[in-house]
Amino acid sequence: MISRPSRSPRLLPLLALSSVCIAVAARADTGPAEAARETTAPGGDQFGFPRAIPFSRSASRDAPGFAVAMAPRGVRTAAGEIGFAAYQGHGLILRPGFYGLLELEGDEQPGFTPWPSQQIHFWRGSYAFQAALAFDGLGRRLCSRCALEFTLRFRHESEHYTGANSGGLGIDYSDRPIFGDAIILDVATVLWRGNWLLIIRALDDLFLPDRSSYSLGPGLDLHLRYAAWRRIHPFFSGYAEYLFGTEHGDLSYPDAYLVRGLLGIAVPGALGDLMVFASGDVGHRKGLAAYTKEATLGLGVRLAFGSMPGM
Amino acid sequence: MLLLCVGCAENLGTETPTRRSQKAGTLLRECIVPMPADVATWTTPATLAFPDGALWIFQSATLADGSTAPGAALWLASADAACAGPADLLRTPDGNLAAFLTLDAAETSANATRTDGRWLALVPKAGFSDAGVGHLYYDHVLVGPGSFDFELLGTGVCVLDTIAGTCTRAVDAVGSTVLWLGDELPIRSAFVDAGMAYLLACRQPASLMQSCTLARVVPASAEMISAYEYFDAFAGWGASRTQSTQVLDDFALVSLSSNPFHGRYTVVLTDPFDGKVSLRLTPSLEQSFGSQVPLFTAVAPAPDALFDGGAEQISLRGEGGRVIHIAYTAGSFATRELHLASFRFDEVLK
Repeated sequence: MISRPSRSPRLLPLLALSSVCIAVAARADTGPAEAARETTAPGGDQFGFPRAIPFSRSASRDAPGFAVAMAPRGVRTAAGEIGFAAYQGHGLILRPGFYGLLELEGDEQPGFTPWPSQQIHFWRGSYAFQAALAFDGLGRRLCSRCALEFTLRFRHESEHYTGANSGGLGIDYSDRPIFGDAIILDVATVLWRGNWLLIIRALDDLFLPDRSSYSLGPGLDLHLRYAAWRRIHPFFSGYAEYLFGTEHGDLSYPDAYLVRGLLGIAVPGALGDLMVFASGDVGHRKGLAAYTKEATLGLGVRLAFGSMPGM
Repeated sequence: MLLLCVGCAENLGTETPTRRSQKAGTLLRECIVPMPADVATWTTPATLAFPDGALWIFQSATLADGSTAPGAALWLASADAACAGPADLLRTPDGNLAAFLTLDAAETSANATRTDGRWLALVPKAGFSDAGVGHLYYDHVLVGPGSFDFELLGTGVCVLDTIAGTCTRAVDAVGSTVLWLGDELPIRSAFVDAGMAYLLACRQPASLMQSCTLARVVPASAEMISAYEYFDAFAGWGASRTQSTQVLDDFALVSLSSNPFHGRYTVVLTDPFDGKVSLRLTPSLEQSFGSQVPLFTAVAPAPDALFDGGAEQISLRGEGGRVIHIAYTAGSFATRELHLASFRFDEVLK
């Protein structure tokens, strides 16, 4: 086939630079009270949490969690990550793991649906094999509750839609972009300042040639929470991504972006958080609806597994 | 205020992908092939590729004096010569216009005695040459009474004598020149590869639908129905025509061949409505064709006419298949013109 033009910037150096900056910023926390807290994430050394710094609180639509969005459209998400094992040594913890996602989304008129169940139209399915490497030794040298982690994932995603049970003509979505296969690099760190927790994650999707409608997908993920109280933590999660379109088959696909924020409260527990939030986003929808660009305000609930570092 | 807005969505627009256009190469030239001085109009020709040039065989040509020359033919040594023209219609050694494909005496007589406003016509569609011998596939068509009325009676094949200017029509066991009835095997493209003639047969089961299957035959046995094999995706090549597998479903004019530049089999597709010319490739005829690669858009036809023809001129290729030439007709029935488009690929397609 015709060779694909390279119009995406090479962001690996930027990713590496951002990780260094994040690590330097993490040195700000030197409070003596925090120094006594544990830094090791629970979950044991097999079939435990897959990361030292969980991705489940992210505002990304791909965040691993069990969630329902009741507005602006019904979105049901069943996604999770699990670590197969945890290998420790030399200040490092390596966690190989697995990620899976199934997301159902309606295509109804925007509004509020308390219990969305009948409007499933778009489907996304995804799985990933991953390995997270936590630099615990380096994190502790930076500050008492700091954590630094690098994750490498091979991820596949496919997009589908619901057809009528009674048959009839299908909808032609053949020109819609294919997420396909990607290798995803991300580096994350935790910054504590008093009772404020900040998770910063920089990530980049490196799509495999001829396996996707995109070439590169850098993103930035933030999670800020106030953790002074034992039962309630107000939080804000922000996420931004930009997918560079490429040529696939005989189509040239446009770029896509999404900026999304969640504002709400988290009810922490031993396994994770119950998050209730309002959401706002600007950008492209997901899956087969990816060509629609819109700005929305919504509402949702999520069960997010994985313990927070330093809590 | 925020709560009042929960559930709101503001549409910021809808995007679409863009078709890759003309990125596969460059349209070098699109010429109207000049008619010979003594020709007023001509029909869409079938192409036979010979090693040293292309033979175009027309259903008929209307001469300047108002007479009709059935089965007239034109020899093209190169694309440049075709565009520079005009060339003369081929003539027999005795000086008469060659008539490669003509009705026999009985068919001519039957046409003369018909009272329903219809008449039998032989329409050349595709052919191949091997070892200097040409084979032409043609449709038996009942035309009329209206301008757009026609009924496909079947398919025949004839063997060319390029010196005598004739094409001997093959007959089956019962003496019929209709070797395949109706739309059993409407050949639309043919070429020779590794000692076998490959044929693309395209049926139109419904309006705006087309289903193409593959057949093959040893060139020397092309007059024998029993010598043909048909491609079945499950069982391979076999004798059962009805078990053949659909290999293309594009509603388009088709031209199948092997292109050494790409190292692939290619099928050139010409949309009969908008003239968009594209290409599909496959490494093997037993494998599926790849996605369409747009090449160029041919000149727009007149409002009352469609594109016809669309045959790639295998013997006129340049640079080992990097430059291809596609012949098609376009224009109104009154002023139908024969075009030859030349396209050069930027690079090898996979």
